[in-house]
Amino acid sequence: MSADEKNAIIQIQNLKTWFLVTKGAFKKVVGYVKAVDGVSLKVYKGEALGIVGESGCGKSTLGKTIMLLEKPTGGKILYNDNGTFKDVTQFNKQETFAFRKKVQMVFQDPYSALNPQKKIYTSFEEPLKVHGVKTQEEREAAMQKVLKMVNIQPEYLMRYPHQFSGGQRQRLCIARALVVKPDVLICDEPVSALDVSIQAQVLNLMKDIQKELHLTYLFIAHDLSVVQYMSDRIVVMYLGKIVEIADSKSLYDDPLHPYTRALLSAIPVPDIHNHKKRIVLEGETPSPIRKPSGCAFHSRCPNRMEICKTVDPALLHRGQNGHMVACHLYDDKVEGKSAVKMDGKGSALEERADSDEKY
Amino acid sequence: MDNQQIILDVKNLNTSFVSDHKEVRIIKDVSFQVKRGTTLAVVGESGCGKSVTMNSIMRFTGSNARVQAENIQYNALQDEKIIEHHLERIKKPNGPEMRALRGPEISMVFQDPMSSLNPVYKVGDQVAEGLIQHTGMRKKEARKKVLEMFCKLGIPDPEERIDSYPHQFSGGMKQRVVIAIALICDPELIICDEPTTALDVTIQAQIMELLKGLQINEGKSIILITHNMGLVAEMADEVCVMYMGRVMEFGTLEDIFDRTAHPYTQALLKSVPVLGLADDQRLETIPGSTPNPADLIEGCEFAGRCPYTQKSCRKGKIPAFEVSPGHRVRCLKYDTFPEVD
Repeated sequence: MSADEKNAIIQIQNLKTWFLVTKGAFKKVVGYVKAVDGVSLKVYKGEALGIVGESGCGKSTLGKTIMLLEKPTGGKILYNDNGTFKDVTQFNKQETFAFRKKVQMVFQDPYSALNPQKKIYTSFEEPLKVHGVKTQEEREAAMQKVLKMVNIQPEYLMRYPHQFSGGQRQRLCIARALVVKPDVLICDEPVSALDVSIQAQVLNLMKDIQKELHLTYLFIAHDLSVVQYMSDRIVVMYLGKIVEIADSKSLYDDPLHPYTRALLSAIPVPDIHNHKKRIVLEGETPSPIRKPSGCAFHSRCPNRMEICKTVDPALLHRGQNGHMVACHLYDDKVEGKSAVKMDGKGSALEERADSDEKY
Repeated sequence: MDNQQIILDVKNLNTSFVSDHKEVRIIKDVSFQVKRGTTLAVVGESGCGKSVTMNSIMRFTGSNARVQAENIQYNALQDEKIIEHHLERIKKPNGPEMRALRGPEISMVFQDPMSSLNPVYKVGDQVAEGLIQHTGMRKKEARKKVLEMFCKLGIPDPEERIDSYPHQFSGGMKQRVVIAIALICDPELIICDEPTTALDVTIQAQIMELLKGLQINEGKSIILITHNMGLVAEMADEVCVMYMGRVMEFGTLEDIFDRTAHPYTQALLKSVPVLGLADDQRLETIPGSTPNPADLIEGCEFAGRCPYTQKSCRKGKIPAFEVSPGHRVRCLKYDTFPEVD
């Protein structure tokens, strides 16, 4: 096992999660929604890996598939269990159970993630009970510990969810995920349902907890600025595929994929003096049922070439520090891309951006 | 400033809702002005009353609402002449006077395009409805106008799409249809209530470009309600910051971003994650959470979360102070400046 593999906690190999599209009384299969379509990536121990993309890109499905909440159609999810990699997709019931103790999830909507009929105490006790913490004293000690971490007074355990504000509820959800001492926390849009002033509280708290417990985060969100704040490395997805992986600094300083560039430029920045050039993409994200041939992004790409319509680009290393991108622009064998400079800022893009600079 | 330049003048707007036999004040003495041909952004967190303010002006509030105002004046410009409409004097919220204004003069774009379109009517008919209602235009003519509008708003294949149903449209396209409904009668003032919150960022960029274009090329006035400070920076000429039903700060874009005065605005600007933050940089947080509007709070509504709170903040009425011409702040930190009402 190489050092790189040793540091990996989860390895995903060519993972596919497809949903059937059926028609008629006999449920004839007429197509597939390829929500996750051939994703390969490594998650290293102790890192915060951000997964970003627009709605329908498959980022949530990817998170759910890793948790085995969705059944994968193909591929492997390898989990590093004390040095040996085990394929999660082949787990039986007991193994799945043990795996879910190691990998926990925080969901988007804190209002529906806590049972309104149960006291917080009951909601917290259940995972501890099922994962074999026998005595009540131990369970209570564990609960007190996590509540302290999220700055909620232990007396509040006897309250009901409706007695808490949105931010408090999301902190409770995080605490509940932590109560079984997981190694990996998958956070699916943990702050998008919260107000900006509360968002900052939760984000800072999550950062502190990660440092304290040496957790591995999979941070799924649509807001690139939130993801960039939280993550060490960022995965950009588009229509079920990874288009770019880079550490968060290089992704911001030197985005390679035209989609990442457009995404970065589309985010409104609260700064009135540094107006950046905006790349406005044409059209909308195509339906995942009828994905375009070749590179899925070619229908909206400002740099598209002939080859993009037919050949799907592979995710390959370009640039330093494991910066990977799936785009023909960076393939030396492809001709007819002379207009694009390789310094990260495509001239064709800049031309378009100039014409957009009306305001 | 005269009525020529100001399109909407709201003074001391108060809205309260009656629930459980209790009257809860939601909007408290809100005053602002919208200049003709500019964009006013109204920012604030959820529950701060930004939508209720606009609904009160348009009289879209429910039967349990009580709207009172000293002045809600809309200045229509017709053939170089100003016609004043006093919205606060109109008795019936859905009477003919109000209906005559909605559409040809003031129109609204709502947050969720999925629920603001009727799923059982063709989109073309929904857009044409306003036109037929207000101008008595024939269906055929109206259809032509709708097609023109679809072209202008960048809806592809308008000839085909005009006969589609809302479910056949994507989110961004639906929002364009909603904007088409708002624009079809050629209004002067467009109120956009979080028009892109339900949409993806790349689609948001398209819609914002469209709205900015309408303001610049056709001289429309826009009120943009949002909670996104980034959008404010890109779109607005003037900004109105609201918290707990009050206008905390009002000023030009430069006033708000460069000479930020109110502690709440300062906190709001610093708590948003911005792209390109350094690794060890932390977000500033606002302690606590928004209070319940039903709890009566004496003094400043933000006092419980403000780092500069003094004893005087917690009692009496906090007036607004004019720190520079047009830049009003409701905070006792600035009590050396002249008071404005």
